[in-house]
Amino acid sequence: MSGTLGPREEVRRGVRESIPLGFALVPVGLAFGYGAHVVGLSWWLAGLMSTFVYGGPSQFIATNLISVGASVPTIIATTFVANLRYALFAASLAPFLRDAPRAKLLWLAQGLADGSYALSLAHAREHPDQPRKERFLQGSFYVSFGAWVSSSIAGALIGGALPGFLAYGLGFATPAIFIALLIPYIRDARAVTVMLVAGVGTLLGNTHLPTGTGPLVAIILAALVGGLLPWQRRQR
Amino acid sequence: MATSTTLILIVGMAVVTYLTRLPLALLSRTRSKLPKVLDRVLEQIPVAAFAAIVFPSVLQPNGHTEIRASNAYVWAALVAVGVSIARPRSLVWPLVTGCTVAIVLHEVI
Repeated sequence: MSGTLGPREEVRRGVRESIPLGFALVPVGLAFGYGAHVVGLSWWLAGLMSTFVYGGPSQFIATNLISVGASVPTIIATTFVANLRYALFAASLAPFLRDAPRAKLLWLAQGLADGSYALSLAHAREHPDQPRKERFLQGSFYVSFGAWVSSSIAGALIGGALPGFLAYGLGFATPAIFIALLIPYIRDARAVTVMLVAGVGTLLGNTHLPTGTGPLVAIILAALVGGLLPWQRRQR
Repeated sequence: MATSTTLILIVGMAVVTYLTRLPLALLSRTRSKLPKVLDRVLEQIPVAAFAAIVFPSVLQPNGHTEIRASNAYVWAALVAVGVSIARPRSLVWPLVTGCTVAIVLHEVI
């Protein structure tokens, strides 16, 4: 790619390239807000949870657990396990952020969610010479956070305002985004294997393992299979 | 759940979730090179993580497994895969075509 960008432009690039992600988050946020409303959370509590927890899947799990009367410690422990994958994301993204001020990373860490992680990692790999790559994550965080929090609040206030067919169609926005992010990585037998182990493992984990642990177990298993098995190295 | 209990819950959830993200700041200045094996394991995280989102959201859209032709998300996913191969690096095209297919098939199936 062409030359490196200045601070403002780099943040703006993160914003611009995350707009489809922000759009995809809206139906999910609406669904979370509505679900929170159904289990008795006021709009401002739904908004607080989206602001400070900021982890979509774990928030859905929390509303489900509230509805079945689970205890507070149980929900907090489940949240921790469900979100432990962020530690894996952090470990995989951190090596690209060596020149970022650590104090900034302390707050920007909050922006580490599935979508912004995916976009920031792809960006970091495509622009190895770009300094201060955390600025892209920062821009992506703004868009993703704004979309998630505002749509959570809207969902709690207006409930199931979307007509059924539209809610169903927009429900495909998240898989569509992550299919687009996944496909460029699928280049060899190793990637196909990791994809299948993680994907099928999550399907099985969701139906057979304790709530929230399925994806984490499947991701770790798939990464170990892909990283440890003696694959033939292919030059890329 | 009472409001005060919910606030305690949100604080607890927020703290444990932040702890999972904290390694972003803690690991960024690590000078020592990671062992090669660990490096290769971490390289697999994106593929594993994205597959762990895509598979259940397509094949378990309502919490239970629906691997059948009447699940419109299956067809929408096939279209999104095709479009992603044809237009690498585009998020908008798979998003628009996939959601359109899901909406249309929802009316048809």
